[in-house]
Amino acid sequence: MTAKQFFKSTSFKCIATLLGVLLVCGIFLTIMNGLLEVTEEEKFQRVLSSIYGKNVTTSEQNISDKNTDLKAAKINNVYLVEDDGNYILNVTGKNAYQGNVICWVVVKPSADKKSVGGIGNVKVPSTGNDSQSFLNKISSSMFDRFAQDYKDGIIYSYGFDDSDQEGEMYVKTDASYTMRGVCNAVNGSIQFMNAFLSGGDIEEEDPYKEYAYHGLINMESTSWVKNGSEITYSIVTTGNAPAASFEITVTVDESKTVKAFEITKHGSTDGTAYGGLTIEQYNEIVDANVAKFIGKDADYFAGILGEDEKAATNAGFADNELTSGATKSTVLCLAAAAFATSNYELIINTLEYTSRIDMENTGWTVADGEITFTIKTLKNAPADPFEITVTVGADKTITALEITKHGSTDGTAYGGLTIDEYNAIVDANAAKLIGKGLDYFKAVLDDEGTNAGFADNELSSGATKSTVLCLSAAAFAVANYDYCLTHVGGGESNE
Amino acid sequence: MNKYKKITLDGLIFQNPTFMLVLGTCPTLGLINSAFSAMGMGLTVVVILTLSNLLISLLRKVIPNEVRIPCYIVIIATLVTFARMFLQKFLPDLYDSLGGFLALIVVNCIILGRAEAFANKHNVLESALDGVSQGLGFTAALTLMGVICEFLGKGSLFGYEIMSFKIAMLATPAGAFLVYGLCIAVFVYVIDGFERARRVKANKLARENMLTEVA
Repeated sequence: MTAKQFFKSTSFKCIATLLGVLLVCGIFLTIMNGLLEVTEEEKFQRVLSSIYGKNVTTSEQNISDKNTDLKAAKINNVYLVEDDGNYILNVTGKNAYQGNVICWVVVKPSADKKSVGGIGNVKVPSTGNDSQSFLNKISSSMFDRFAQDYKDGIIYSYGFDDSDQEGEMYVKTDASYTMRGVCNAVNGSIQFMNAFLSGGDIEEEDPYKEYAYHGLINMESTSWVKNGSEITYSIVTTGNAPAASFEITVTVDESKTVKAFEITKHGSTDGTAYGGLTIEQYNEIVDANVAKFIGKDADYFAGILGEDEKAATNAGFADNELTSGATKSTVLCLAAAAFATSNYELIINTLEYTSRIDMENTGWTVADGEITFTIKTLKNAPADPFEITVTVGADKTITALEITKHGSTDGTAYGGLTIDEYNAIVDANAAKLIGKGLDYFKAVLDDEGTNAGFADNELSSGATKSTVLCLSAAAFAVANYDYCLTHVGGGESNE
Repeated sequence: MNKYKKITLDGLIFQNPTFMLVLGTCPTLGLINSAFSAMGMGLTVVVILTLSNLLISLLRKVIPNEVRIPCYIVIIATLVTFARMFLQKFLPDLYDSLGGFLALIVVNCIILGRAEAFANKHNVLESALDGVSQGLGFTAALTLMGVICEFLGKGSLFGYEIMSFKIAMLATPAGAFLVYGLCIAVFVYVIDGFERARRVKANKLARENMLTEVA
């Protein structure tokens, strides 16, 4: 085909037409993109208009020197609305459904502008909150309650707070987890703004402060099981750059020394890029070091780590027969061992699963290796406290469980069941707890007191709050068998 | 019948894209839980369909047959992108409520189907009219189902709360599917009845004419 023939051919015509259409469309869209671009400022003004119903003037506040990453929320931006003196915060509420929820919260300062005086509108944009798939189930009147219910010192917990004794916060949102994130965002906003307006900063209390050597431990992922006088820890460490997190199983016996120490997941990373060792070489050193931990007590580990495990170096390695070369990883293992040994006394003497138990009105008696617990639970709104007698056998399973006083309340006013119907469900569920051990209760209760694990464990939903109380009582009895065997009593003498 | 009247009635009723041709089902099921979103989607499709029909009809003699589909897609995609920019700039609430379905208009069967079946073979005026009538037929169907689903599923209309009673299932795509099916059944039943009455009337007229001629 000659060039002339090509230019006259259909192929050329097709290519030229397609390119022509593409070019014209491309130019058109380029021009339109320039003309119709929505700037960040415009997006922000839209959010403000959706909250205030009009455009307002704002000035961004400098929060770079403040603690903005709180336990419940992260404060992203704070703006002063110059028209009315309120503050509008862009906040990320933590622990929402499958992640976090981004909210806009209007905070009204008090008359002296030294603290928070109220909450204005709370908006949750659909953009950026893709994981909150039930967001549209929360009605606008639900968001209005934040402003209506505000009082000094309030902690919002609409729809999810099991420990809400008065039931003021108990509402049916149809999106409990998203609502939890939103409540966290508003609570975080109040906490932050109280500190911001008074000129101070937030110092969050360490919830694990009673545990020694937890600075390099991921406490939320770490757990332990008590077995007689032994404690087996499943420890997840934090990272200790360049080493990543380790997963370690440590067993400590009554001599408060390490009985077994096993690394189930190494965290050392490849160091060859900066003249270090390979992962396998690091692992060898670490494995050799941890083998020397057996039989060692808290003083041994404290002597190497010093007072601040985060600042620990290999200075004490040689004196204690440990090999250097994988210092960061070895420090993580030492921290895990130090945590396990130094907290033995605290953990072995602490009752577990007490969050839903009225400890002042709970007691137990021991007879022939069996313990009979007389348990009074707390309220789990809308369910009132239950009174339950639980017997645990020597094999640490439930041998008898009797509900002596039901706590279910009438739910017909909000589309629920009658008391009798609730009681029937709870009784049927309670009957299935006979013969069950701690693993069973862990599996059901670990989903934050919801009915998520009910079906898998042959329990019926429909009386979730009441069933959770029964499960909690049973879990309390089974988990604390060893402790209660040697600490006869209960009631007001409980610590 | 006047051809413009026929095009209009076809688009609105006899070839209604939603109830008779069952096209554009994806946005239909996804958006009819809100009357506002449903109507917004319908009106956006009216604009895009009219413009795409108009442009494709205008270029039908320029675009070679071999590359007509890629050219149509490029034109439709450009119009959809423009519509997205426009809505994001001037109607952000509607833009947010339509979400991903707005971008999916590019592959909406109604638009590509009308380009291929109608605009490719008719003049500019007829094609534009077809776009408007088909688009309005789509809008009317979506809005009707949006009203039903939102009213019964959420107890509200166009976002305004009307009643506390609601059948939540109807506000889900599954409920939308149910309402869609029932609407098709009713629509087809009514059109069938209408067509049957028209045929009976025509037959009767023909018989009378024949008898008159025989007499």
